[in-house]
Amino acid sequence: MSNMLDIDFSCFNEYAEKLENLGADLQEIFDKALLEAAEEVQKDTRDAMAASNLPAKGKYSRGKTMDSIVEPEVEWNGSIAEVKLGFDHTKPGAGGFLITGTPKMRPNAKLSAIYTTKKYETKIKKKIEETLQEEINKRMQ
Amino acid sequence: MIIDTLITLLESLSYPVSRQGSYSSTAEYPDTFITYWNPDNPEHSHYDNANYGIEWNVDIYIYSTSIDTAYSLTKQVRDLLKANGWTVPSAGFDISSDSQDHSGRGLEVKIIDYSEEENENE
Repeated sequence: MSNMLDIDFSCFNEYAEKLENLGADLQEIFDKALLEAAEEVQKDTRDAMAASNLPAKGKYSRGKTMDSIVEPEVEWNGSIAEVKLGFDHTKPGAGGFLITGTPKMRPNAKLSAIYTTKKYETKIKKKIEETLQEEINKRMQ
Repeated sequence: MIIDTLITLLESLSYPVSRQGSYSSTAEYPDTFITYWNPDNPEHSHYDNANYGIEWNVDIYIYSTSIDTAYSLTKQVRDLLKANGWTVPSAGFDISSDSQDHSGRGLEVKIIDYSEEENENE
């Protein structure tokens, strides 16, 4: 499972055009919008990791799995932005198992809701749109 | 039901198929097997205050003691589902396995169901 939210960014083209026409630094603004959205995802991930939500008497809510939650950082490759979310698979921990489940353990419902549902994707898209709209409003005043 | 149709398709590949999480904690895994999980069923589209179609998003996991089999079976599953109307946007991704003997590959697949019983407007 991709530890990424699958978001179609084409819906932000209109905002990008408006911002460009207003002389904004698009990379700086998208950086901010993506980082704020990613921080919300990671907060929701940490909340979903509360012991009461997890199997095995909540042992994954502490230790290596919690430590493997990534700190969001936007990386640009040309005009493509990438933000790592969820758990760092290069570190030990059970984060991946909690999202995908295993043949012996169902996926964790709260983490699954974050990383695999359209409802959550819509919420994050809306947050990005709000940030972009705020930046447009600031420049139109 | 869409899931039943999916299971029948997957079973035609002659490997055990079950829901993710359905093996008991003491069970031994088959050498090669498939699991599935249906995380989301959003409405597909809206028009005139009515929704049209339900999206069935399903994660399919392929586990095998042979990494070659894990990859080749992933391709077989992908080809089979595409031939039967499913959308399979990627060739798959690695997943962690809780068995040291097994490698895992995953696929995210999707189909839109426009049938009467799933469409609340009809």
